[in-house]
Amino acid sequence: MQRISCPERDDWRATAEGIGFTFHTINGERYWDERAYYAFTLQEIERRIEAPTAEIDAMCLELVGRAIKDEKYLRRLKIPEAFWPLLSESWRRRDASLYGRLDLSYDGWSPAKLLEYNADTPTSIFEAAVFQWTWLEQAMERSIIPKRADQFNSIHERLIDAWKKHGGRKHLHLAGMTDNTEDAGTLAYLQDTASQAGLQTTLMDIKEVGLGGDGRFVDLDDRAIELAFKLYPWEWMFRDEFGAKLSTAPTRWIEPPWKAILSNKGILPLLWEMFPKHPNLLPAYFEDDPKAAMLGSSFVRKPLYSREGANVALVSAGTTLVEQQGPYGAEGFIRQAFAPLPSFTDQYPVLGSWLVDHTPCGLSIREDENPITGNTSRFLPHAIV
Amino acid sequence: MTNKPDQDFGKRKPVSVPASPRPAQPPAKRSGHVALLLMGTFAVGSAAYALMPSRSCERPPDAASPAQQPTSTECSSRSSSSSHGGSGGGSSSRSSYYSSDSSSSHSSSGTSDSGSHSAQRGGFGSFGHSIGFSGG
Repeated sequence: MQRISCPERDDWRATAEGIGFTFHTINGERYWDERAYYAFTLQEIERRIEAPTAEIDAMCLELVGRAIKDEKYLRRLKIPEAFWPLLSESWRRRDASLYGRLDLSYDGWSPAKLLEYNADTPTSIFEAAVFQWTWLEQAMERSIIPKRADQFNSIHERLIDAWKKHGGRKHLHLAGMTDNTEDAGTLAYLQDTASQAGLQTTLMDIKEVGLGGDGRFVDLDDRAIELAFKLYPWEWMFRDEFGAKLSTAPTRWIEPPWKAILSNKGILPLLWEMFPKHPNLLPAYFEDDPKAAMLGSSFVRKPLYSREGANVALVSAGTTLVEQQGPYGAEGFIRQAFAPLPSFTDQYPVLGSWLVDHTPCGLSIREDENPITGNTSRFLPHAIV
Repeated sequence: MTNKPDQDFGKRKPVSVPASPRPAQPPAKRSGHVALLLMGTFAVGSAAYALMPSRSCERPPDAASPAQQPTSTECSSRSSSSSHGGSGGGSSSRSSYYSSDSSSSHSSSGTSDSGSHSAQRGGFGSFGHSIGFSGG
């Protein structure tokens, strides 16, 4: 793994905007950054990223299976009891997952370590699947990177295949916070892939979801929502007013309710408990577990529920070095062993390893001057050379 | 999403790692072709969404391969618009998502039936809109 500086395409902004990637710059700061790329060997990708990603996903599924059978797990994750039947029924029905992203720390030498699992509402999939691929094609054409470079990235085809496999002939509604540019872009891209799979689709804001008199969720035309992709976290849906209707409404959701287990940072200590000393896991404990003291005075403190690094704190020798502000933390925290992110020319990259239909199929990289990746971290492309 | 239950659902599978040494012609790890049907024909984001609320899109059954004909999807914009319920739920401080025991402590966003015939609206989204992003 190397960070290689390179010239940027002089027309990349126009190219981005031409395909709908309008959030390449956020608040005047680069989000997409192609002034450098990360280079990997094929063997690194296959052995250090792809295989561990499949392994971690399998471990996560095993954890969900246990949690569904043993309410002790759900209690530890602070998932409200009223929704336990919703989760377990979706698991027993085998409701399918479309996608997810593992965030990994990898330095090019040691085994990749799981930092967290964005299992419920991962974003940045459009730039990973499409614009990163466009960069590869054009960068090869323009001799910015070697002519025979490759990329770990079959996300696009796999999304279409997954929609074909799981969408059937249902009408798909996609709902989320459409006033957020990045979320709207993610929804539009997933709508695109579903359309290419032959599904009829409707995109709507999450606030437009209606509740009919018969207890069904409906769209603005009062059409029953049979199958819905929601870019809106389960823990928020549970809290919202219609949350109480989730258990009785017949809508099938993507991601499915059982993903509420895996989007919880509490899976990190549970995985460590189930698979101690696994090479791709970091030691982790619930903060109220006496074993947390085994981590000593240096660790990363994460709320059970958190997005974009909010309320994550880096504690070194008992002193909080960095803490991202945010609204989370009331449900409790976990502590994870501090694994310093590798520094490449003073940048800290985090690898996002994508799964579609449980198949590892792509890589995205966010880097930051800050050792906690947040929503201002830049997206850099990668290549296999 | 339950049409064809996967017999291997939820089971750990052996992880296959390609045998070493690396073959002379390594398999491509990337997409063969990435084409977009809908994106690119309009800007993505809040502005575009405001212009086109609730786009219903259907790909014609006889549409050519998306890689060949990327603009053949038929979309119909609906004109109905919703005046959403209030968004007072949630808090930007460290608030608990849940009450201690159940879902009974929903935010008091106040639903409305505007924008449609009889359905209540605004029952989802209150907490998220108080924070401003949902993905991660």
